[in-house]
Amino acid sequence: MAGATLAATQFASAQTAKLTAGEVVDRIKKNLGIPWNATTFRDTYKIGGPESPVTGIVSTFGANLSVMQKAVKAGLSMIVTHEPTFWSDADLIDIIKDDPLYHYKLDYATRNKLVVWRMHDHAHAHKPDLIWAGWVKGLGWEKYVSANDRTYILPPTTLKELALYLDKTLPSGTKSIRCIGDPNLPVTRVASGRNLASMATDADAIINSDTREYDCYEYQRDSVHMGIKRGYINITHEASEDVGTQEVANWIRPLVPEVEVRYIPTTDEFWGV
Amino acid sequence: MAITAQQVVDRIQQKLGSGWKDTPSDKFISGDPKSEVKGILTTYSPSLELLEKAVASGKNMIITRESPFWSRAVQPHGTSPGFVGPAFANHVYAEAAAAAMAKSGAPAAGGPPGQAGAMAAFEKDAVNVKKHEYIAANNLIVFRLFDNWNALQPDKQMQGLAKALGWEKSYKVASGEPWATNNGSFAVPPSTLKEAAIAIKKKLGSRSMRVAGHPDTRVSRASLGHGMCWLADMQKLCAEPGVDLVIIGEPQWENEVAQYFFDQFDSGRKIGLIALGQEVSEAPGSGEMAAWLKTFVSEVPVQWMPTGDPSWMPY
Repeated sequence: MAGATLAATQFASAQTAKLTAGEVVDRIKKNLGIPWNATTFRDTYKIGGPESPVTGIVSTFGANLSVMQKAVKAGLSMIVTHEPTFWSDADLIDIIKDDPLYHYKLDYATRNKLVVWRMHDHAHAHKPDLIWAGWVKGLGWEKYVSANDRTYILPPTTLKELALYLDKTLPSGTKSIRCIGDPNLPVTRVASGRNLASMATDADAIINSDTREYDCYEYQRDSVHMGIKRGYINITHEASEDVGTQEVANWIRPLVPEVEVRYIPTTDEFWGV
Repeated sequence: MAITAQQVVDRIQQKLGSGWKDTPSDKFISGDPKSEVKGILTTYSPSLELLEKAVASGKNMIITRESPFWSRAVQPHGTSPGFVGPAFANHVYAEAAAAAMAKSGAPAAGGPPGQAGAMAAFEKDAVNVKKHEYIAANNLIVFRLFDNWNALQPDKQMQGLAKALGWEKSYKVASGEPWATNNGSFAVPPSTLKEAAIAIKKKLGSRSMRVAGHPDTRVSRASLGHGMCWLADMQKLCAEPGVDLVIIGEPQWENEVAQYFFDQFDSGRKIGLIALGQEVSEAPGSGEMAAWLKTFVSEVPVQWMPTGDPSWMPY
């Protein structure tokens, strides 16, 4: 209980200390262990700025409205997001400036004094890649990582069981995993890959996310038809990276002891019928 | 009377008139254009299984939406596919985003390093090699009709999908051209989002359809996309007056387009989304293509052959 009291005292003092987003970002930059790429178009402020007061920090996949609503309810004013806030990867305002949803979201954030800063490129560039490290830990696969570090040697399972394990374990609440191949395919070696060329793996199964169905699905269809003993699992982008933002939270937390640093999953809202 | 593959393509180009544009995609991908055509199959993406059926049924020309070698990157004849090429569709933000990326020199979003070795290995990949060999050994001719078909308006991919859903008679346009891509809406039998999803899944034979929104949302008016849904597409489909159900093929990218949609209903709007899957949303359009071809190609059989949803859900 002493720890909780100390934490409460520390958090209470944040109000008077007036921690700013700029101070938080400075500490992040100083502790990354790699040079900051000042030309990044991703890792910038999306709402608010360096002067914005910080009452707490949320680490999450996307600065979705649903996450903002949770942040407001929890009294945490700074969101460190992995993905865009205003949807396009470059957070382009020109293409959404007439969209009522943009105005709704901006107004909501501004009224509730939220500051949103994106940490994408540098989260990946950190050694180790924080998103990948969070994925491995979140799945409990630390001891299964093989030498080339994006392949895993698992205790024997099947394609269907592996898919269900991902579904059950990943915190983004995904209910929309899709597979190609024999559900009963024995699976031990698992690769992960983003694009068509990575499909040509000699692993038993490959985990893909946010795919292009016209290439990856169609390749896998042909692969299965040829009788190759290989399976394919497609998870959403949230499911593949949201768990990684838990590691970002873990990494930021010791740098900012004055306030709470909380991982709030961006829920994957897709479901199947 | 004999007709060659080139003559078929010449007629397609004549039919499109001044609308035909030479693009990197719309080419003979395999086979000799001077070959005599015995029969034509139209399809979304010619799988190995479809090619075997073509051979078995004596049809040697495939007119396809996507490449048999899967990638949309430009492929010189006889070589293996590369990575995803630039977006061919005329998306509002593609140029601006590319410019921002080029200026910053930032890495491409996410993903493991070291792709060059993967590309070289893909050339020797068993599936890639087998498919090339099968096409060559059976003298199949594959012509990709993509950009020019997409440019043809009214949008026949949309019309085909609307017919497959049984919705074509309930189409209404608020502004712009009727049956223009992403334009207009359909009165659909009022139900909950979940009920609509179950009915649509059954109707289209989808196995891995995805739904977003509250299952109990009442829906009665749908906007209809197909294939890749980019952010600008999703904005347009959501902005259609009175819409409470948005249908797409697949979101591209999920961290842009899906997030946008989730914000729509988390803002309190009563709206649902169904992502049909790429093949399921684009297959009926190949049926429209076959019907269209038949109006000016009568020398040989022309048949639409869908390949079906290749995926399943483990639940």
